[in-house]
Amino acid sequence: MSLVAVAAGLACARAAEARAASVVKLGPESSAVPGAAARHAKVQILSDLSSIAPGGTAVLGIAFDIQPKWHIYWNGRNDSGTAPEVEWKLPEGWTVSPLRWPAPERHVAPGDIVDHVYEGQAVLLATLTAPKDAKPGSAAAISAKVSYLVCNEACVPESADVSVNVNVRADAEKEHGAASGPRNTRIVNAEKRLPVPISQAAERVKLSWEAATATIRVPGATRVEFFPSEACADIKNLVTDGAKDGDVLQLTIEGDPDKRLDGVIAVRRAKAPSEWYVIEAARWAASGAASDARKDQKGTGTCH
Amino acid sequence: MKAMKLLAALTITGGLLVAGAMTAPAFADPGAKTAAPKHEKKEVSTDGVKVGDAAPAFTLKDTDGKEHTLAELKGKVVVLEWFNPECPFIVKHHSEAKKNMTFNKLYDDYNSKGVVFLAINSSAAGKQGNGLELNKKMKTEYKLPYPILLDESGDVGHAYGAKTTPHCFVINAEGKVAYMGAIDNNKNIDKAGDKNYVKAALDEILAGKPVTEATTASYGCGVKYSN
Repeated sequence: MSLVAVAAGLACARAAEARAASVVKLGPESSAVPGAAARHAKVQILSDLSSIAPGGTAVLGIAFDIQPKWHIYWNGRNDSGTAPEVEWKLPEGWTVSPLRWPAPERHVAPGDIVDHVYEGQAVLLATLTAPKDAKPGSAAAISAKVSYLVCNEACVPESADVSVNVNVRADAEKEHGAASGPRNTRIVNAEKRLPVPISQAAERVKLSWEAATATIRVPGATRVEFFPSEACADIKNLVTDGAKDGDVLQLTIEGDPDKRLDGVIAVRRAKAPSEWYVIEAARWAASGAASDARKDQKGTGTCH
Repeated sequence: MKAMKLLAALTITGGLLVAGAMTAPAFADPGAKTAAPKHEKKEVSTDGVKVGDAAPAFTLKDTDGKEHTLAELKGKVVVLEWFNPECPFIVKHHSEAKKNMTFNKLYDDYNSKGVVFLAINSSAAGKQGNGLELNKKMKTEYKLPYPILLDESGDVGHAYGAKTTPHCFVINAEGKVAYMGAIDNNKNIDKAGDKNYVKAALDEILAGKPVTEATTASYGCGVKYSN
C-alpha cells in the first residue's frame, strides 16, 4: 500500500471519527450541592458509523468522560447511587434498542458499601434502527437527555443534552459491513467489555451448586468477582464473598427462595484479557439436590 | 478494626449494644476439595441489624446540643432516618423545591399518634454533609420538624448497618427493629415513589399486625463513614 493511500486511509478514518462524534450541547447545571463547581463528566453521543441505510442499523454510544476519582453507576445491584438514565428524542419512525451496559468495576466504600461503577471513560451502547422510508441524502438528528449521578465521596446529580447527526445513505450496508468505513473505536472498545452469556464460557467457567451455595470455578484465573443484578437474590456477605483472588468464588444465597443467582462474573487472568459472563436466573434443583446448573444455563436461562 | 469500633461503642453507650450477628459461613469448607484462594480473608461483616433484632442503644447530641438516647424512648415506636443534608436523595425528600416533603408528611401523620422521628447523620469529619453549622442551617432550610443527631464517629451507623442516606429503621414499642430499608419504591432523585414502605410498616405496627414488607433494599448516597 502506498504512503499516499495510507495517508488517505488515515484521513478518511479521522473524518469518519469526527462525523461520528456528536455536537455536544451541555445542559444547564443541575446540582443539589451548594456552591458546586463545574460538571464532573463530559457526555456525548457517538455513532459507530457515520451513515445508515434506510431500514438499517447503527450502534450508538452514550460516552462519558468522567473526572478522575469520580464515578458513575452500573445498572445492577449497588448499595448506593443510581445508574444513568437516557431519555431519547428521535425523529419519527426511528427506534433505539434498550441500553447495553459494559462490565463495571467493583467499588467497596467504608461501611461495607458495595457498588459497581464506571471510572474514567464509559460508553453505554444501543442499536439505532432507521425507518425503511428514510430518505437517502437526509440527516437524522438523534438526541438524548442524559441524567446521571456522579460521585467521588460526595454525590452530584448532573444532566446533559446531547445530539449526533446520522446520514442516511442508500449504499450504506443494511447490516454492519466494511463498506461504510471503520467503526468508532470507543464503541468497539466498549463492546469488548459487554458480558457474554455463560453458555459461551464452555469449560472456562464451571458453576456447581450445593444447597444454596454456588461454587464458581475458573481454572487459570487470578481473580474472580461477581456483580449481582437488580433481580439477583441476596448474597450472604457480598462484601467479602463477592470478590476473591484466585480461581474460586463461593456465593451463598439467602432470603427470598424464589430469587436466583443473576448477574455478571468477572474473570481476571495473569497474561490474558479479562472476561465477563452473564449468569441469568441460575438456581439449584428444586429438590435441593446438588446439580450442575450449567445444564440450566444453555439457551434461555429463564426462570421456571 | 470493626471489632475495635464496636468495643468503643459499647464503652460509650454503656448500655445493651447488640452487635450484628457474627455468623459462621453456611457453605461447606472448600479446603479439602479445591485449592484455597490466596490472600483469603476470614473476616465476616459484623455491621448491622436484621429485622427482629433488639435495636442498638445510642446516645447522641442533636444540632442544638441536646442529648438523645434510645433508652429514653422505651415503649415508643421510633423512626430513624439516616441523613446527609447535601445528598441528592435527601434533597429529593426534604427540599420544598422537589415537592415531595416525604418525611414531613410522615411526621405530620404519625407524630400525633405517638411515633418519634429522629434523623441521624453519620458523615465523618471532612466528608460531605458533616458539621454542626451545616446541619443546623439545613434543618431550618428543610423545615425539618425533628432533631438531627450527629454521629460523626459513625459508631451508631455501623451498629445499625446504615448504608445510605436515607436509610430507614422503624423500631417497635418492644424495642425491636420491625422495618429496615428504603423510604419508598422510587430510587431516582426527583419524585417520591407511590409506595411508602415506612408508612406501610407504621400502619401495621400501630394496628398490632406483623410488618409484611419488613426489609427492602435501601437507596441513596453511601453514608460517608471515615476510611
